[in-house]
Amino acid sequence: MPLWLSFSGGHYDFPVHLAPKASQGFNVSEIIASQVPDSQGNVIPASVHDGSMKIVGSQADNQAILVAVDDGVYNVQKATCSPPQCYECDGERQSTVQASPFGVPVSGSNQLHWTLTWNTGAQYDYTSMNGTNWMSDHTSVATVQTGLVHGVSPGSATMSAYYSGFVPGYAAQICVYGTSPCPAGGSSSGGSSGTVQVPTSLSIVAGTDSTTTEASCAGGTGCGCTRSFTYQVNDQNGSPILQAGLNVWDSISTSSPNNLNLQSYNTTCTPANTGSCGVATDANGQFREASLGACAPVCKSNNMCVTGGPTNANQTWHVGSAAIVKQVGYYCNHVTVQ
Amino acid sequence: MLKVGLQICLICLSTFASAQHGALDSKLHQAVPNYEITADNFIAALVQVSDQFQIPVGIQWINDANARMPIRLSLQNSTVEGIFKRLAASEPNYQVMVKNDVVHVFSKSVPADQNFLLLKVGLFELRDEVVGIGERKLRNTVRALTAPSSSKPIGIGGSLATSTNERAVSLKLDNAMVEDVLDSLVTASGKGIWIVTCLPDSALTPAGYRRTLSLWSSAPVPDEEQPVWNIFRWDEPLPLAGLQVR
Repeated sequence: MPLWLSFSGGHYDFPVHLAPKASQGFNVSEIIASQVPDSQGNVIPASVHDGSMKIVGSQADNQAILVAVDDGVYNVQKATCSPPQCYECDGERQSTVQASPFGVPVSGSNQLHWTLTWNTGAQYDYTSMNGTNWMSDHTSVATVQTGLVHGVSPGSATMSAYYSGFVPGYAAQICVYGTSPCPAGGSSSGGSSGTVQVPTSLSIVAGTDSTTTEASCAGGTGCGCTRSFTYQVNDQNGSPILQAGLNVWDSISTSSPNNLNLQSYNTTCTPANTGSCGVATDANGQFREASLGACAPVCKSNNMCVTGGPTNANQTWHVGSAAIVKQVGYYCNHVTVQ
Repeated sequence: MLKVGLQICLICLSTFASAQHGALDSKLHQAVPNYEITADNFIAALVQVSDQFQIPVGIQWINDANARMPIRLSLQNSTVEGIFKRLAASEPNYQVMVKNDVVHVFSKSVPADQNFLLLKVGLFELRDEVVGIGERKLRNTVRALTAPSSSKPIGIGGSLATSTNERAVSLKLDNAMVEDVLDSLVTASGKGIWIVTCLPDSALTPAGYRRTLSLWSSAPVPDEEQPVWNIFRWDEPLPLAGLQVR
């Protein structure tokens, strides 16, 4: 069990080996007088007359240890004893669960992390600490195990973490006569609320949208255009779903009118309407619409491209297990998306 | 000045192509003292070797009962090329050939006049576009070539989703065959693998070509969407839904 002796301009580590229920005394004056270097080669200069002492566990700063300390100060010049002792009690100052709020897709998962921050700035991960238990307040919406949230059905839920072991409480410096005023400490808890997300809408990511016209297509008999942009998948609250690996594919059917006389549609996968074909969202829940467009003979007259349209169509995007319908308007020189 | 510049550029391209070919050659001749492969079927075995040694492959195979059987092979003192050849020999009537810096494994059971891969597509050009766009252009070209001559041009609409991290490629091929374009698409994009899966029965499309299917779908591909192929990244799990199409 190290004792950290701190003084103006340095520190000195003084190891103390304490067996259970054993006690040991030491005299700081003797440590100074001996001038024996510690494990890092430090000594306490003979000129040092005051400082502080910190007791920590041998394994880690946040290791729970139970010690009783009795101390005394003897002033050799005035021949007086025991002035008030000043204590600063290291311990937990902040409990944080990341991410908060969290999002998780139905059937997907999201790992939460519970961190306790001490007054010293040290941070300790209690996510899967022995003695930590996680709970969900709505298990029909989401379940949680060692911080890993699993989405069950769309909705909101709060995940709580509780550590039943000992976490010391923090107290700023207090000077008292008698016993230590450090708070008893005890268990700790944290929590995070979030949403089990279901893909509900698609929005075009700003700055990714462009349209090019095609002066010759369909074997030179038509004109057309192509629009490309990046789609963001959003949840039932309009928040982005930051989930990679959601399979994406589409199907298109003409509604009315069909002024471009479009007779068929190329869609993402071939054969059409039979499921996904390897396109998936990235980690931001985005995918690229690389070629939304049409080529039609009616867009060409006297060997010149002309304006025309629309052909309205319903485009159904299959994102994961959800289906999102967008109304698309095909024109000769542009495409609209509702 | 322009002429000198073009000459330099051509020399660069030639040197680059030669260096690429050299790299593939050295990979194919890499000694493999002991090799064991276990795979669910013929196509999975070929893809596994392609992925493991990062060898670009173009495969035209027939989805018959033999090819769907699990494969287990052990080889001693072979090379990467030897592994491909040994795998090809494990099925009746397959051949291995290196072309366009791609290892081609193909069935000799598909007659040339029924093989859309040998169709000439004229000028094929991509300018800074993703492979999916290139595939669509190639598909439309092939369909135009194989459509009945009496059919009128029609209006076509469409959409194409891709991943956001798809690499854009530029390429220009003149008077190339479909398989040359597929080779260029997989080498330029770094994806590495193209596969044409033919149905085992010898019934042809109305245009007279061997019917194909997609490994992504257990549904038959209708005539108007024939032919199809699949392009994969090396690290991409191989979908096997198409193996259910008999």
